[in-house]
Amino acid sequence: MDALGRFFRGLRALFRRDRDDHELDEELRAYADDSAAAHARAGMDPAAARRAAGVEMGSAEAVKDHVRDVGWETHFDSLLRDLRYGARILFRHPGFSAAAILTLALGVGANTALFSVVNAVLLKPLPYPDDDRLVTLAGTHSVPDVADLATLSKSFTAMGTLARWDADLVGEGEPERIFAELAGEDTFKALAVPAAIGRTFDARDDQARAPVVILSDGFWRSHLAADPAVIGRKLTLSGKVYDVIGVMPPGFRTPFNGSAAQLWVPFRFGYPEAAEARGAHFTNPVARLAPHVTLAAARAELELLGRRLAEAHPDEARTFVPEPLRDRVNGEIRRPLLLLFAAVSLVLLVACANYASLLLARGAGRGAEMRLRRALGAGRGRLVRQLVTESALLSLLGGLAGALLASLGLRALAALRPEGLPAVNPIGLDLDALAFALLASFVTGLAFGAAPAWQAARGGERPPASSTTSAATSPLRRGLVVAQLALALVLLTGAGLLMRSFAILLAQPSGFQPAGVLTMRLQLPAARYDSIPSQQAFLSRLEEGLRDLPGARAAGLVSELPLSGWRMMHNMIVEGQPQVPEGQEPEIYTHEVSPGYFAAAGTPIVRGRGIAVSDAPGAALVGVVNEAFVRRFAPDRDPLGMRARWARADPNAWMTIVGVVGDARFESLGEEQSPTIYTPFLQKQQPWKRWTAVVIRTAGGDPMAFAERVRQDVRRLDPALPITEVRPMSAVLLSSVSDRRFNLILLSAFAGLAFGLAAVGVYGVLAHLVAQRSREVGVRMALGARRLDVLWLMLRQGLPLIGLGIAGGTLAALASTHLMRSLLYGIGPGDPLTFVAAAACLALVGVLASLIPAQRAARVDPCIALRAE
Amino acid sequence: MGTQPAKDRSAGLVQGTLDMLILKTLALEAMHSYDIGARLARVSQGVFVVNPGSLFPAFRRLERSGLIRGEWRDTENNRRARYYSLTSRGRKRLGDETKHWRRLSGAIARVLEA
Repeated sequence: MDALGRFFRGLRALFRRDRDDHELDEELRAYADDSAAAHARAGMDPAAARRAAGVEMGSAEAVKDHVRDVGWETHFDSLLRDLRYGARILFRHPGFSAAAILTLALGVGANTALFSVVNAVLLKPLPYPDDDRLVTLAGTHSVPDVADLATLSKSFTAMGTLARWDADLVGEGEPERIFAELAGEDTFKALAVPAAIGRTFDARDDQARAPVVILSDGFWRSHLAADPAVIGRKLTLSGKVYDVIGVMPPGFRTPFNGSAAQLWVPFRFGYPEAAEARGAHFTNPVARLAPHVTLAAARAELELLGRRLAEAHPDEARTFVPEPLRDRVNGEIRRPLLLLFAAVSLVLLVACANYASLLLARGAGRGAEMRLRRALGAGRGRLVRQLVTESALLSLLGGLAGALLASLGLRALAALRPEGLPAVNPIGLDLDALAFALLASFVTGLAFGAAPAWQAARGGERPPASSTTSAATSPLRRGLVVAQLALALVLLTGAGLLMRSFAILLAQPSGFQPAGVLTMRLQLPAARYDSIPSQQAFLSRLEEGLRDLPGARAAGLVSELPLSGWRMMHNMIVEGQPQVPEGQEPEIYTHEVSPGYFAAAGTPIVRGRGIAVSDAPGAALVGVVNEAFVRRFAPDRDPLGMRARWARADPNAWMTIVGVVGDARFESLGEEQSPTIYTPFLQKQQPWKRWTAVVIRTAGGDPMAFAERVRQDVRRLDPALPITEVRPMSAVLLSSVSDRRFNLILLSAFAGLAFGLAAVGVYGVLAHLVAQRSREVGVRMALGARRLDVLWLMLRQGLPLIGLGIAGGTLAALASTHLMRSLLYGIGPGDPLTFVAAAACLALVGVLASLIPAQRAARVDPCIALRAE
Repeated sequence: MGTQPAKDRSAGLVQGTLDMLILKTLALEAMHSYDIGARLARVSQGVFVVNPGSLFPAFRRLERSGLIRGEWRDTENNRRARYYSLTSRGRKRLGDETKHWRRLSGAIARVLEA
């Protein structure tokens, strides 16, 4: 209350300052009159009385100053004055101001952009109430397992599960592929986010016969025109009619599958076969811990339940290990992101060094001004305050410019967005980021502006320093340059290591030849393709049609594309292997392929044959394996003629191995090769595998030019079948390395930024030296020194700085690159080639940056240089 | 006091104490600046002689805190002067401070006499 009153009275005083001053004058005058009158009454003569009154008063100005100091508005006033003065000074030296602001903006901008990512991904909670109570289970699991755990477990208030589902929306015109998710009934209850309109799934849906669907806010707006009476409307998805029962609030996203799902349906309706299949481990559970239940307690209970389930279903024994949902969502990206953030902090440090260096040089140039102001009675504190105010002004402008750069940077980042970056919280330049930018800018601006300010203010006390060693080239400034160079080298070495890893990775044999290959995905709707023969009939006709397209060299079908990240494992029994208990048979990757696939993908057939048209239903069952399979199961015998079968199917359905193909990468380029078996899709045994990818090798040119012809061909066979993920094989390959590419590009950009800033730092110091020694150079040249001598003389000034920078940077890099071991591929964190190359690169740039001012010195005209002083 | 120009003998006065004494002085009637200083000196028998350099900032301080109010009035001999008077908040504060001071000084006295 008191403080508020003081605030408002001070505010009022701000607007009537002149009147207040005038009144104070009058009051003081009245006081002096009274005082003189009192003295006169005591017997003084009028002149002496007036004198005595004057002595009593002292300096009226001093009294007024004391009175003014009582109100806060006085300080505000002098701050305004400092700001005005500071702005004028900055405006009068546009070169310096622009350099300082740009330096801050680059450092702060890069940091703010990355902070926005770190904030959204690592710092902000997941967008669910009490997100720290949410857990998932390590790995992927089947719907029946999760349903059993949900029923039996006491540790959770709710447990659901999610799996990706591509839904075909048939409305008007072209069928559309909608990114959707299958959701266990309790999923939304576990996430604890209620619907904005209608309701989420509940027990009623278990009994109900009619399929139901929940929409995202985005889908509701884009496809249903935000119809407020949407509940009860019908949607036809993949051949089934669904009732809309709810719309989620804006911004609601599920934690898995790239958080991109636009609608949700229960497993029972979207994928009835999988809802019953205990062996189909493809869903991501999400559960909410009951109050007071710890993760450890839940883990113990699930271990027990896992054993009970294994007894009931011995052929599907699984372990269930709960882990915090946050860790699953962020786990993979956490380390790279923190490393990148550390890297970008180094960039900020380099920028800070430049900034401090600029201010030091500037402070040295203001010695005369400071001395004058000291002489006129300004206290040192007052001068420091003035300089700090100027610094703060620079910080503010630098921070705002940095936020601007950050928003541009984020746009570039969005284009690079790697697949592994969680999207559950949107990434954007929000208030947090703006606050971060201003805070970073003020902290750096003030921390790195204070020392130069102090030095400058102190400079005001002393006589001018001798002209050859000013603060501009003080040990502090040289130290800053060395530090900059060292930091830049650390970043450059890190970027170099990533670059080498990336090159080595891309040079890995992929097991296919992506050039000129077009790919796409098809999902056959259950409504029209529920039986194996119907699927086979369609796929056979499709492959024939594609093969005959003019310009197509080869065409084939494969259940999962190489490097798409999709693949399935099955327990298999390989003939001649030791007997193992049920449920522990070796897991082998399986793909269904058409006869044309190996030629279309460019996967070489090493022994035997590929899949043939004759491998049809009714013919002998066959399979083709990869080299890793041979290494594992037939290291010293002929794999051809060996037999294998599905562990969970007809025990007499043996497939004979008829060929061996090269190892192809399906998960990532750097992966270990795992045993894999390719089976003919004409002999498929699982009716629920209704998806396929199309692979077409074209005669050359841009494979995308082929897309329309393929589309027409598919539409000719089935006009209601949506085609998705139409892209060249090279794009599939590139997106498989998008996480690494993201790290590489970002770290390289940071290294480049730090490098540029450090080069500017070296240049600045050398340029200053050259300017200071131009007279000396003039004398030397007049005495017969050659230009080359002068060049060397100046260059020599920079070499110790560069040398120290390289030594320090190499040591620091040696000490820190092991942190990025998990990001490297094919090289160690101490890779000598990278270290040498980075140091050489830094040396080169350092020398170049010194060469420019040195050359200027060598061009000095002795006559002009000598006359100048 | 006499005819010698008074020296500021308020240095020993803590800011809060000076404020309290001014409030007490104004408790009887509104006064202008010189009279306040003079009365403080007279009542304290010359112990507290407060210079304008301390007095005027104290007025500004009290006014800003809403404890006293200043207004221009004509004096008995027809000059304009700024008269200060207690606000109700000032009166309440004076009561509080006085009570507090009595308790404190009583306690100090007891300690010293013990």
